[in-house]
Amino acid sequence: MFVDGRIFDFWTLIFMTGLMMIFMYLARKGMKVTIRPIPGFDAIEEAVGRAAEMGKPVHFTPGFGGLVAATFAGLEVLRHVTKLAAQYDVRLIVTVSQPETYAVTEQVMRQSYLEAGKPEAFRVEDCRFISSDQWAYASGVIGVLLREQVASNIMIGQFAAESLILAEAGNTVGAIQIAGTTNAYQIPFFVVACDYVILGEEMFAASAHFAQDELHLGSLRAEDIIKGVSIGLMIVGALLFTFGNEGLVNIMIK
Amino acid sequence: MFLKKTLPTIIAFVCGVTVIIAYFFNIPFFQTTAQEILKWQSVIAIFALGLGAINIIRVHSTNIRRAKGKNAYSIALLITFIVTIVVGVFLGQESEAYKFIFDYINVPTGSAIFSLLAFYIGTAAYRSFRAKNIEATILLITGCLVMLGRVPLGAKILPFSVPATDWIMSVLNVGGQRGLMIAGAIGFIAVSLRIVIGLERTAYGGD
Repeated sequence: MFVDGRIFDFWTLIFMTGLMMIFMYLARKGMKVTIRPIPGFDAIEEAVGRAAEMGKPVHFTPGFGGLVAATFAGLEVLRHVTKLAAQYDVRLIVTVSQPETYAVTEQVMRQSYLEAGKPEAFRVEDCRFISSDQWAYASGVIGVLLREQVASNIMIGQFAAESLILAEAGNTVGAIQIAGTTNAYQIPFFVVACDYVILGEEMFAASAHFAQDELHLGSLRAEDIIKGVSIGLMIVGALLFTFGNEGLVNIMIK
Repeated sequence: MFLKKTLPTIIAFVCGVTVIIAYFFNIPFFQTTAQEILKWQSVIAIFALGLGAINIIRVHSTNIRRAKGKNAYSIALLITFIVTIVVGVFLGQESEAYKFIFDYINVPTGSAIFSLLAFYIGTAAYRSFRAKNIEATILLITGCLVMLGRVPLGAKILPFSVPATDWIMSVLNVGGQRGLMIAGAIGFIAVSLRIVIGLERTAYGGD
């Protein structure tokens, strides 16, 4: 009945789902979960505040990816940025590369302005679909950064080879830059070119960080435990394999 | 509320669970349904493309109106946008005209933007390779060593740089990247599960 080689994967997914459910339940029942400060998230208010002081817009992009987990994490940050922009009366320009992401992004912005009590502040032309072609998207974003002379550039989501081009364009206009992606090959580019970088899985803590609600915090605690179990498995597996025992490897490839 | 939140959550849950079951189990019903769901994903994306096209027209026609017809970039974009659509729809994607637009306009401009990366790597490296603190100093030393180890001349200047580069790239670099990838994948699965059970509010456009 199982597809070959996916038995272990299936039980791992069941274990992860079960653990998340348990910790969400425990968090709801009052278990205390705290998150360490993430400088990139904490700097967002500074970035929007800077734009307010300079009278210039803030630019946000969730990257080149479609509707994948990294994009959703970016959009969770966008909710927070939009509310701050509404609060500080700062113009927020959002550029999007994929059409399906555009539809969700526009709704997120509209809803966030509404939640901030300023639905009239949302301008349809400030949520811009650029192009689903990678380099057309990159050149479109460069154009927006240069023409609008943004004070802050926030890039959180799924990025590929265009990451450094966008970050350097932001640096050219003197913008404070906050970036984050799960793409391990692009993180070094962001590290050298941006002021704050949200590293890989830190992005997925966005909803828990900003919302601080017990379900997200519980889910985050479960993720940490799963990471601990994964590290344990890697150490045990490496030791067993080093001493010629392939038992764990054989279980995992089933 | 039902149409905006409950119904999308139910659809996401049913589709998500179906695709997950089809991935793990050889059950023909779920395999076929999952294939259909993936086809529907493309169909929905095409509808979204229409929304994107409307947005492009709206943003750039507003730009032209505000600049009283003097916004050259927006005018050029709208003209090329319309010409490409007309050529693609009426002459077809196999036509010479469409191939000309793709091969002689789209590809070279894309390559031009990509080529900027080479210069930006230089400017970013120039800014970041300054020994401001311990971390920056480690980055500077490692970067110089790897650059030397990757060019033929480097082996002549500093023979030690070649094995050092190999070790840095295959041990430190791969170790760090795998750590990021594994943690990222766990976060990825957690967010996907939260979307399937309707906890991730942004997936449904907010509260």
